Amino acid sequence: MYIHAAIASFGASADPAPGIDLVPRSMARRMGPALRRSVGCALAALKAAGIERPDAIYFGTGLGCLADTREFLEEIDRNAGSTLSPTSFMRSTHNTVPGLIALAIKAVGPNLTFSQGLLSFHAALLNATLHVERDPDHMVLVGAADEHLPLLDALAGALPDVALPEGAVLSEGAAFLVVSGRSNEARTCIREAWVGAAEQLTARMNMTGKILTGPVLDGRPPIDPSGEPYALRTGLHQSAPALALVIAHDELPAQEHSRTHIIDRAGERCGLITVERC
Amino acid sequence: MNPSAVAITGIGAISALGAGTDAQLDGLRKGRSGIGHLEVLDLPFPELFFGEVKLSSADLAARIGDRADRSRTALLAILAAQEALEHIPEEERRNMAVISASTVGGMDRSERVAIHWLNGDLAQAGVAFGHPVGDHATLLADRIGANGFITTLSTACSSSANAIMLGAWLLRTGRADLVLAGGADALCRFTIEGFRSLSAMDTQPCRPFSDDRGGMNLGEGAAYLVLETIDHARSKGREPLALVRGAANTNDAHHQTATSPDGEGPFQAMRQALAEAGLAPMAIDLINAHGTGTENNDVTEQTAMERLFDAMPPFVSTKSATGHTLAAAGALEAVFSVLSIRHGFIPINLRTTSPIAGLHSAPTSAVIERPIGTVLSTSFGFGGNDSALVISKV
Repeated sequence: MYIHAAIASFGASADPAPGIDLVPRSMARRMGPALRRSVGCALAALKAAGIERPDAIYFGTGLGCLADTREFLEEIDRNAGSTLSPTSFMRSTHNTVPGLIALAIKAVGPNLTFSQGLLSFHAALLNATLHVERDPDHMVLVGAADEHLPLLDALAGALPDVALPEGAVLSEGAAFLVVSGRSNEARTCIREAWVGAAEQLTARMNMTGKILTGPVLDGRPPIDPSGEPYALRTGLHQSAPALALVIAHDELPAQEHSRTHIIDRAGERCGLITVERC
Repeated sequence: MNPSAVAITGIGAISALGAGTDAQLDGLRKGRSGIGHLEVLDLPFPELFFGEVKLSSADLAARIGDRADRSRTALLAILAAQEALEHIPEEERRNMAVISASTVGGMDRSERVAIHWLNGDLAQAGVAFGHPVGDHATLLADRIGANGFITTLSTACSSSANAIMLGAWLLRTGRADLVLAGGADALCRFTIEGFRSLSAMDTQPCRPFSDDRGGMNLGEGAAYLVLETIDHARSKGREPLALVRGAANTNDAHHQTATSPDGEGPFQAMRQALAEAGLAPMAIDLINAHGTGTENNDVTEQTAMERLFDAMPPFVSTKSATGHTLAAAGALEAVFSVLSIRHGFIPINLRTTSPIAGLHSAPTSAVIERPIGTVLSTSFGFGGNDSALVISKV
């Protein structure tokens, strides 16, 4: 599966975030900053790939639109018993981002959202792989986004079982890629998008390559200590593997290894994304 | 029979009709309604009607041998999944893919403490671990001894139909030998207040596809299906209950929460699922419709059905018996479709007084015993998300 465009936006660094100007004004007005960033990033990826609308949208998110979830919880608390505003409720569903992208560009193809903690994006990428195997000419938009709330820092501090890796901070971000089964002029391609038992990971990584390892929050050692911990660059959030993929895509043409493995662990299960020069 | 056709070889369900598929079958065949006021859940809506599971979280936990301080979504999920997997040996479960679905995940517990967290009181911070929608799937997979692929679909009310679609895809491409697909959602204040804020809740028991309909009744539940190729099932000595012949997901791209007037997204989902199944509309014996009971859904859905079918097959919203179980609905109604095929009956669409004015057909008005070969089951959700499944006799 070939990558035709890859755009990421994360932390506080991207100001203005890519693609913000592409979000229809009537929609952007009613969006919070994180939502605007996600939709903008998706539209920027489509523009970079030179297409107006994709044939399918597959999306991962660990916690969905957290700001809207918080707002509706506060609304319930503040106005219990009276008529509440539905806006934040409507936006709190996990598939809000791909739903709004579809709405913005009239994308009527499959539109799926996956949520499984740090392994959310992997399922979206696997579904994109299935799609382009069936329809190699289709252009598929695949991405992930998560939001940060100060509450997450407070909760992480209050939970004795959570140990943030040294130097990494809880953050947020969005990343979108356009992929297809045709090489065109693509420089990189996805070789693997996999989720499975931790003990099977080594067998899946049967070719050498640079290794980017995901954050481990439960205090256990990283799954591959020789890898470069990508969360120091992407920040800690559950869409970080998608950002790591964009980083790997950007760096592959100039790096020594022709391939990068991105490995993540959530409990007893692992995720693997392998991307290489083509 | 195509050896890579996707077979359903196990089903499990819990809803307002009861715990277990026998209770679902009994309720559907007798035309029983599970809709009523809340009796078990401690939620402040005495005037509203729901499809509540009449078992407390402690009762659910006791039945599955788990802790009661889990999210109700996870408890419902584990109970239904255990039933679906009764005949699957432990060693086969190890590499089984788990594809679940949920919209609220652990919100039933986190909503009780989150407002204190937001106000700086971090007591019970541990509840946060169970909040993410995917957490119930992790608990479920751990409990049933599955350690392979895992994910949770979260596309609002079409979520578990999409889980079944992905499961079928993994099997057809040889990426899995055995799949557990389904979904779960527990009633919680967040979704009740949410649909109330949208004026989508009926103040009476719901009347889907009735001209005088007044909105939905929310429900809760879980349903899971064991999926494998026909070849794989037979090599293990398992007799398929039914087949997943076709599945499709489309986007209406019209509005964040409402369907387009001509139901284009639902129409395309149904059309594409039939095309994947290689069937003409006339092959459909029954439509288990989405039928929430809201003004917008039912008129646009029925418009889409009437566009697709020259002669409308019988159609029913079993949400009139279970309430709208959100992410569980697609899988629950897939289980109902299997029951209709296995036991040869058409369920009743409860409480319809008169058909929708300006349209040309009416939902079922009685339970009818009749052989059923193929069912079209539809699920539509926020974000313009439209899904359809074609389930057939083996």
